[in-house]
Amino acid sequence: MMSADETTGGGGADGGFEDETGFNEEVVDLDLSCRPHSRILSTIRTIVTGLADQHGFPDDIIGQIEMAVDEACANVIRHAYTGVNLPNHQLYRIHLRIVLCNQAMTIHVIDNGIGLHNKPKGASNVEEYLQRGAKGGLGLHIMDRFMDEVSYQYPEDGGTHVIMKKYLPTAATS
Amino acid sequence: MKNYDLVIHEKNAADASQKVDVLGCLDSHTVVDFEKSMQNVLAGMPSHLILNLSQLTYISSAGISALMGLTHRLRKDNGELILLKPSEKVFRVFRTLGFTAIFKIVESDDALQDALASRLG
Repeated sequence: MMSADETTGGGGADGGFEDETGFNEEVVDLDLSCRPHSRILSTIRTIVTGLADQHGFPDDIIGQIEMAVDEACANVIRHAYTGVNLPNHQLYRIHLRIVLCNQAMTIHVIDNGIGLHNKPKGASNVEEYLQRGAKGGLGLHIMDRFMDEVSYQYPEDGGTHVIMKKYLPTAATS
Repeated sequence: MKNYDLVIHEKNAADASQKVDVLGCLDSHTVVDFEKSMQNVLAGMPSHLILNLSQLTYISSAGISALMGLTHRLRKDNGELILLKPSEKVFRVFRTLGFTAIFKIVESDDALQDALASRLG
């Protein structure tokens, strides 16, 4: 399943589509849903980097967004559905939503899996990652390090909803 | 370019080092094949493993963890993992995350020869 909604006009359903002056702005709102298999990661990266490039992010920042999204999706693939028995195989999905407004790119990574009750603890730095025996936590550290905002929501009916935001450099410094 | 490929060179008869070109991306999907291939390479007991990363277009945390595993394993036997000419994008990731202080990275073939000579000398 893949659907894209590209509109001109503010006031999107999740808010944040309008700038502070209330003027409409161009919004790209893309939804993707796919089976949680690692084979899809390169395709997801291609889509994310293409949109970030089109939106004017510089190459080094595009690389950071690419890596953060890849890590979030890889976490879903590796962990979210382990030991989970859902009534319908169609429920085993990664949902990706990418919203571009004139100041930022927001990426939502959503699953129906095991769910979390607290923010997962990544390594705070490479030293901590090494102290853990280089066996885990680096992906979460990369998400935190490379994105401007990372938050987690835990829907009552299960699953995890990760929201990552990266501001355009001009927006971040203004 | 294919998403991922390896070119495994013959072991160097003079210094027993072995060079492998890593092409494409090293992510959660491709790292499984990469680690299996590296197990086979290490079974040949090279003194040092040289990974040519000049055509590596992407590396994720899974790829970095695989390189860490190789580093530990080789150092245990007094060997070294040497990362040769990483692409600008991959080097930027190493530098930003602090892995340039952990991995042995060389930027040219001449620097590689110097590194091997100092290890063997």
